Amino acid sequence: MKLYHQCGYNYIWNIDSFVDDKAGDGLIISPVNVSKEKLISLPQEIKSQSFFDPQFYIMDDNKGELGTFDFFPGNIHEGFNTEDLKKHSRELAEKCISFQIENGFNYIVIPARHYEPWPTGYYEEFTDLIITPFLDFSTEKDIKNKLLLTVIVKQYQLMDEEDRNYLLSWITQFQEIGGVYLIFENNFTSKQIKDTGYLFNALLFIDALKENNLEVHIGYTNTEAILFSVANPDSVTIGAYANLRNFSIDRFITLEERPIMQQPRPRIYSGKLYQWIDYAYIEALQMLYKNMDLIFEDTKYKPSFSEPSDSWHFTRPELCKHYFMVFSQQIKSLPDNIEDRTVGLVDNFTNALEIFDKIKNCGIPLDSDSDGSHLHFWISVINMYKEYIKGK
Amino acid sequence: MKFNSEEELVLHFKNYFYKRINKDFIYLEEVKGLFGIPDGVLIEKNENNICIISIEFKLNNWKRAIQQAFKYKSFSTHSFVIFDGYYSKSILKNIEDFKQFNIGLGFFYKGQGFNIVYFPKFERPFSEHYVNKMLNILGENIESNNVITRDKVSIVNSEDIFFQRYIQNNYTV
Repeated sequence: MKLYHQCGYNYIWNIDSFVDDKAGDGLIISPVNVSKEKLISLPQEIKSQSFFDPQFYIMDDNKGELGTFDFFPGNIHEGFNTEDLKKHSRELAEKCISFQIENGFNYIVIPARHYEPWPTGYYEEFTDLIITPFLDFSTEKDIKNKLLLTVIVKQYQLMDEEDRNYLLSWITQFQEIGGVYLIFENNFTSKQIKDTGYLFNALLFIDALKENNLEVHIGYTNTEAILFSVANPDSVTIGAYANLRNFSIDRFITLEERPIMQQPRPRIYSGKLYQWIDYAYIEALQMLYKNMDLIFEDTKYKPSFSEPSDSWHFTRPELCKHYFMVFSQQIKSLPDNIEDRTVGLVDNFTNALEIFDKIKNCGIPLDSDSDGSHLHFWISVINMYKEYIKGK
Repeated sequence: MKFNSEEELVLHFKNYFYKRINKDFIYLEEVKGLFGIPDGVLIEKNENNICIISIEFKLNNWKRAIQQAFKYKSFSTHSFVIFDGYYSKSILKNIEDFKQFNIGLGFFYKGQGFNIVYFPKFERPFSEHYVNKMLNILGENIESNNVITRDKVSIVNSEDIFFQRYIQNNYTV
């Protein structure tokens, strides 16, 4: 299973991590954050291991650097609408595919449009106005790169068997595609997903796609990427910010006024605990738990964590780069054999829960976004999935 | 009689406490910019010493209250949860958790005053950084000629703080 950097704001950290620290297997490049010119100038050895998300999510909003890409629909003219898409769909497909080929990307990504909620006839429109022109052009030009279809799966679709099956049959009708760039869109408010049904259905969905011989590349994953690994997807992602570890359409919407939002608290990723620990607990952990090495893995960024806490901010690159290195190592160390992987993960989650108990016993009641409560759900999901696989 | 909301509990406590407040006390509400947002912070000070007591008010959600009150130990010498006394019976079953995490436990009874059933041991706050922030916030909230700065004060390591004496002398239940 590969690990891609889900690039976004400060994508240079991802590049540094990929090139200097050898973390991850490539990048998913985000044109809302990188201009066409800068993208073209990226080293070819990086681009050839990466893929490009055209980000047609909000077609009439050429937010950020999307304005520099001539194939982005919103650049055709101001107030771009579906009627314009009908007129220009073939041209956009040609330009978008050609751009991905010219830059030597690994895959060709067919973009998705986003709506909230999905309107009636969405999939017919998506097929006619985006997928068909992309597939036609690709066939005509005899393009050899694998085609990845971007598919956004909303929470209700994953939870409803009928919706899930509809979506699966819609995806699998396209013989030309080689895989799916899968985005699970949800609105959980906790930092970790603690919904057994949701996570189990996500595994079923991944498994069903794999059974149809499709590659599955899951975008915008947080630590649950480790859990998804039991369904053997082809890749998962790491991202620097919360909105790169959980898909939010807000990333692609231009706001007239920047809303006043509370800044996220800095967190440090612990691979041993499969959790992000609020930085403000560090001093309590040092004072009461003492054995910090049992919690945080050694990376070249770790020594900086003991700097005075007033210098810490959630945007410090060390926090991200430490996470990239640790998570990358975790993904690399997963056994290839899925049964061994599953058994190993349950052992690891159980060990993590034991460490959480020790932390609690030494007098630190971590809150629900820093504790191990998600791991109980993950173990249940793995057990349910094992039963499902046995019964297949 | 129970409180209808956490806000009502806070309001009643504040009114009750303000009537008895001593000039050596400062009471700040909803202090932001620290680790967690304490509903109240009582600061007992003299020229050189300071004692910071953070309070979380809750109707009855004791587990979450402990997690919140623990965060305040980053900048407090004592951290308390004060619950609606109406729920005291069920919450008292978990008093060992308060002792384990050294979080003070008190009950405020509507129309009847309050008592403290567990008074936490003094602990040096976990974080120098948050103590300094707390002192800065405090400095902004008191007269400019009486600004408290980190180099002027030391954290009181004493069980004999006014709050404790006050509580012990004012049992109503």
